[in-house]
Amino acid sequence: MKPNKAIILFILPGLLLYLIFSLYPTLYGLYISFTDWNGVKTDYNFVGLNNYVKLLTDDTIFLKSVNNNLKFMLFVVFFQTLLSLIFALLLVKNKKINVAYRTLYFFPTILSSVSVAFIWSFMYDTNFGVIQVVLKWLGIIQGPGWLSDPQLAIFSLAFVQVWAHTGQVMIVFIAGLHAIPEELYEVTNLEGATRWQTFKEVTWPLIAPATAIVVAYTTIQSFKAFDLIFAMTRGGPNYSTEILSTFIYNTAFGNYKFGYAAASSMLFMILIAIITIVQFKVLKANRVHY
Amino acid sequence: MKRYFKPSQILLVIFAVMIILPVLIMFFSTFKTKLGLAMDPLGWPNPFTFDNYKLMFDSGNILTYFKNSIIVTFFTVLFIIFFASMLSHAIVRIGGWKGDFLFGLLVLGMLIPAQVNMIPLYGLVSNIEAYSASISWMPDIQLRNSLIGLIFIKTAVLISICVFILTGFMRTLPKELFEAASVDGASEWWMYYKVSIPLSLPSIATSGIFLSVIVWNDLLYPLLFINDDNMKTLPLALLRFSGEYETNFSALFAGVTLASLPMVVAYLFFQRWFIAGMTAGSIKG
Repeated sequence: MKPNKAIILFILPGLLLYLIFSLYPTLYGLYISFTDWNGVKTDYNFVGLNNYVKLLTDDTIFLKSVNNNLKFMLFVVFFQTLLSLIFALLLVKNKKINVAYRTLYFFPTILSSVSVAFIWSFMYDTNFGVIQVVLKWLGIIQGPGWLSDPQLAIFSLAFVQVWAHTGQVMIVFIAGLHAIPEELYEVTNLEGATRWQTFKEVTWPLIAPATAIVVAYTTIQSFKAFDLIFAMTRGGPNYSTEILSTFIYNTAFGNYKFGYAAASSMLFMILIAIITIVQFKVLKANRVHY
Repeated sequence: MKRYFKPSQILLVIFAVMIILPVLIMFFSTFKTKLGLAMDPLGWPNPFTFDNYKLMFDSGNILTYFKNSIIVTFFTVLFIIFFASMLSHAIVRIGGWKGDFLFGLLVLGMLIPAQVNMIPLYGLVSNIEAYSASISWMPDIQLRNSLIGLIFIKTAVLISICVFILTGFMRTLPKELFEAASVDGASEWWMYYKVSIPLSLPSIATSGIFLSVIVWNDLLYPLLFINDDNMKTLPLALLRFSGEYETNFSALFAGVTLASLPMVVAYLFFQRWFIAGMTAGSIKG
């Protein structure tokens, strides 16, 4: 039996809130991106595609942010996926000790990115930070400037991101591994396959869906790492850790260029969409059906 | 010959140490003086002091931030679950292409990263405020520097993911339950309150945990919409401390410890729920 018209009352409050503050802003953002609005005044001019043209051809900081974001993403996706898969394989059995390890590895996920940022700012501190103290023990007088060296800083941040989220995606791999039927392993055992062969022929093809989820999620997460980077370096030194989200924030709230920031948000969204589509194509092409 | 330490076990121990050590060092630093920390960052606190915590309570205003974080987290999660469960119930009950359309429309929001929306959302909010102030008969709407405003905005932004999780669960409930209730002349509200909600409690709990962690830890939205020091939530306050106590890590860490404490304690008690909830929430989102 179909519900009567009163069901609309179930829909309206949540839907309105969502349409106004979540869906509409995306369209409004597209509109703002064609203007030179400064975020404060009520009047502004339409500038057509000027913001986009300038961003793509004449803004070294924007292009640097894209570049940094891609570096950050590649580092995080590669190491986080690799490590979480290794740990998932090692901790797949539901033994007590394994559950304890999983609980511990997962722990940073419940800390706020701001807390994680400050913990690692201290670890990286070049005067009395923990890493520096350990290096001194080992006889190295002065370690690198983890957060102050423009070449190194973005990777130091990427390392923290991996530290904080490996345990979380490991759980996804473990769930994927648990879904593989036990019989397949019994067959490979009977045939005398090595562990590597078993992994290559059974595990890897069958966890492809989990891998796809992990890679896609980690990619998007690495683009969203605003809180961590904002709290740790704010994009510095000299824009060397500026990623797209901090660039958008700084452009709007530091320089009051809302139209310009909105245009970079749109490019940000397009970039994420392209990367996601490419990833799915690649992972789909590699998927084996049994 | 049996090896006592397999390479795989060494790897597991190394990563465990890498996780636990920074957190423990941070925690022990909170009992050190500024000088004590600089002299010996790794050792036992000597001299042992509670001054950093005292500083947080006395001049750090931390109780206000705690109160704000609790209010924002509690009401945001409550509203999200209330609105999202009603939407999910309606989607399942309507069914057909209309239900699918509604579902698709709501889930669309999950594809939009918060960073894409922050500029237009801020613009929209300031326009609404300016508009309501310019029309004489309208009450002034205050969305910035207001906990209620923050709660509404966060609810709107996070509703998608909760609809996604709850609808997925409610679709598995047997249709006969609603049919039977309908034949008995039950109202829609009764079906929602007595059938959908009680039977969906596991997935409501999952969503609740996931959302609580997200809202409690969020920096972006408070950063955008809160300026007034008395309205700040804990992550935003930590940012303030980091500016004030720039080189005083032991004071800053006392703040970090206090801000993390509720979630850490909850995690110790409900690990399984947290792991299940965070995984469901983040991956489906």
